[in-house]
Amino acid sequence: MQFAALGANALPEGFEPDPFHILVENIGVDSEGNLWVQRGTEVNPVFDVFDSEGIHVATAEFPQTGKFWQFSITPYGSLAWNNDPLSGIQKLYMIDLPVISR
Amino acid sequence: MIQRCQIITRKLGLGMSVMPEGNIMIKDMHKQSVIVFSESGENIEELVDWLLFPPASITALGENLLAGCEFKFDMTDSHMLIIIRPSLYSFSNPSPEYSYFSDTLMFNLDGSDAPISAEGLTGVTLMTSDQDGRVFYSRKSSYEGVVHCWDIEGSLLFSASLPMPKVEKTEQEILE
Repeated sequence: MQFAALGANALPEGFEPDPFHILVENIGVDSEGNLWVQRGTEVNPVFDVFDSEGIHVATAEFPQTGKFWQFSITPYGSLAWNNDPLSGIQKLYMIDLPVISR
Repeated sequence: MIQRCQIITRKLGLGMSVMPEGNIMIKDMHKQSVIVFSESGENIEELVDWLLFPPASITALGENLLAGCEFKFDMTDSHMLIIIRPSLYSFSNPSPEYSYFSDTLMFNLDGSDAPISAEGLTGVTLMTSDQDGRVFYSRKSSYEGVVHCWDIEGSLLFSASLPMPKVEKTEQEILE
């Protein structure tokens, strides 16, 4: 948390980090109306996919490792980028999502 | 997933959304505005007249509509309250047209149990939308993994829950 947003520059005294991972890291919707929910509990990117009625239909893994990958999944196209690449240079990737069979 | 192309960029942040006609909407925290860029990067429109600051987790719903989270803060004797309202906005009105939902976060006044987010207190929300105007909302939380979905009229369509239990952090992860 950026406490600078509250007018402070450091974590408050006695701050207790949450001992559990957040469950939902990110959400997106593809061109088929499927909801992609990125888990916050995995070291590498994993998504649960729900159809347009909210039924869980698939689980998908991104074929790159690391917990700093970020995603923008939209009906108009999907992007991925690493917030902390080893090279120090960020690259934006256009990605093709796998077809979800029901 | 197949990588198709690479574009080298500088720091990429949150608060941006591709609009149906191909323009890109970006929340500018420094200017407290929402800026609409064309595909070629031309600044088309800048929305600045927000009541306090622009909504968080903005997502485009059409040429002149967006959804985002309105934040309000309140305080009791012992706790700070953050009231989060995922809402629909038109470009011509800084007040929400309507709110889909109301979510409340509560933590100690000293901030010792405040929610962690790299983007500050307003970075705990997630929103997205689809071509039919459906809006999705979730919150970064360690005890609830639910995504709510509403139609363009604001009616709740479903709430999808992640099929997994809570996962404890390692000691190293807590230190980080």
